[in-house]
Amino acid sequence: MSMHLIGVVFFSFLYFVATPAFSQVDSLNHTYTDSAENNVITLTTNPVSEEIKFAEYLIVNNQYNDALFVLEKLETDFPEVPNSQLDSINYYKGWTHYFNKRFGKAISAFEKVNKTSSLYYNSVFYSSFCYAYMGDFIASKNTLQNLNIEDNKLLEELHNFQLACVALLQRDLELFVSLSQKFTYNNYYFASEQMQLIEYHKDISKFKNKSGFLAGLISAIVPGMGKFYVGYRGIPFGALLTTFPLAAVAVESLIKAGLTSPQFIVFGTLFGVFYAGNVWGSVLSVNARKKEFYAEINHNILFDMHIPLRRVFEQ
Amino acid sequence: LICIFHYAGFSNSNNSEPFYKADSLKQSGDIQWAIVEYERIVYNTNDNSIRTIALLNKAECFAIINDFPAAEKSLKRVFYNDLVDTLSYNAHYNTAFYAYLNKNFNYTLSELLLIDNFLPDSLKIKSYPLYALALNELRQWDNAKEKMEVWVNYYFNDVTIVKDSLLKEIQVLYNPSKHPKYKNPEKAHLYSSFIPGMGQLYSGYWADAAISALMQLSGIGIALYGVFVVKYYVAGVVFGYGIFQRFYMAGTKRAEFLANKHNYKTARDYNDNLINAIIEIQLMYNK
Repeated sequence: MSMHLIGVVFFSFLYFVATPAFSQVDSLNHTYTDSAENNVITLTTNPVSEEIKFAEYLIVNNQYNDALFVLEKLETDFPEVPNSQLDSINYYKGWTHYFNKRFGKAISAFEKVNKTSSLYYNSVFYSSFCYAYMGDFIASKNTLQNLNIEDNKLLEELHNFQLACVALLQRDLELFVSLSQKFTYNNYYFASEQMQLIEYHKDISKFKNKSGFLAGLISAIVPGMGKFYVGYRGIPFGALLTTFPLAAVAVESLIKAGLTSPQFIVFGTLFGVFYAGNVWGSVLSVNARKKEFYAEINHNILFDMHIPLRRVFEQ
Repeated sequence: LICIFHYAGFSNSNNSEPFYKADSLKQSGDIQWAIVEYERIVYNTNDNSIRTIALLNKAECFAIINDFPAAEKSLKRVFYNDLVDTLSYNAHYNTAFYAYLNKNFNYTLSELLLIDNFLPDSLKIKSYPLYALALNELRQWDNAKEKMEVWVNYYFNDVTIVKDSLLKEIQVLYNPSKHPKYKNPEKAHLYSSFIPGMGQLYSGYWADAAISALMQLSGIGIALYGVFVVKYYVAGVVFGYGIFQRFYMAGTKRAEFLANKHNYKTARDYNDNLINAIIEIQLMYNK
């Protein structure tokens, strides 16, 4: 009983005497400042940084929508968080949008990250990639060019690599060659991607623009062969197998019924439509083939641009 | 289905402190926030039981918004070591149930098999109606019947009249003479390769068979008419063969498709009938 009383008195003393000493209570950080010594004593953890950690955990576990929910709630619940934490919130918001392939929103979140933040470089690289993915190569290049990296060899090399990717996406082969001369091919983070870029450069250099006129002319002589000249392999024989029998039918009706006969007019028109369509298709196939080739190359470049970012910033 | 089979597990409610916020959010209908709060419990706790209950509740939230794949995915994160039997049962059962709703019947069976092998009779037999439903979908009707009979014998052992009538009902439902008769898609393909429309006829589709045969015969007819009547040899062969060839190729593929359609439809009708019967039994006796 007496021990119990001593306990009550002791804790009452602590409550009435010691509490005023921790006079400044920062409701946001839950840190208590001793006014006499001005020492900061953290009694509980910072809820904002805890929430950011929780959001990071959600992102790592691929729960992007939940992470975004947490981050947006954080912004409304704590409108006046310190800049460093606001940068983290914006960065992770950018990340969640990026993983959900909402690149426009990702860019606007990444661009809110302050230059003084430790996440600034990450944000710039990711927003540059987002621009590239959206097809805005100029903005992607400008974003990278406005970045000054000092005393960080890894980021400098990554910066050079990303610029080279954008140069290749823009088909600026001269710039690519000058940037690729700085490739070291010995950095784990992007060595294989650097080699891949060189291959893409070779493919782009080798790719010859075929003549639409020539493709049409070849198809006019041998139906379907214009597409073969452009680079398609199976399709031309299909066109050949459709046009030849129709030509044979038209010729037969010409021989049997004459030039002005209804049979010849019908079958001849049918053949003419298929024949002309085939020639025109061959002309258009030049552009289609070119688009397919560049779309595939762009897809591969973007893939190789993206992998090193994940390796460097998500390790 | 959700109302009945979901609660053949146990309630996931938990009155302990970490669940207050999430539970109240779920009850107030703020499902997105509740999902995040249940995940927060998973994130913060070192207690596997609390983690499992949080995951069960999170899955239930996903089920409320009809996101069954997410519900299944949440429950696949449960660690089963050192869980008490009822919680282990609940996690396995709910995973199986959401997998069933997602039509992952093999996964449903694998979860139920774990209950069957590692948990006591009182729990495992409770899961047998769901077990039977999954077995039905995999066309293992004899095994499904066996499960339902064990379930009836366990729960109604003392009530002979109910037991006998239920066993009789199950006997009628799963009578082998009522099992769907399947058509072999390869046979259907082969029949149509030899006789136009025969594969469709074998699969039970008269109209399709007639149309296919008619189109192929008209192709042959055009060819014969062109060659022998009007003497347009090339035109006859080109158009006649063109029409015949297209409908011949399409006909063989169509016959195969129709055999599969027949199989799906008969199995579906039979299983829907079984689902209704099992639900009715569950509703009537509330086990």
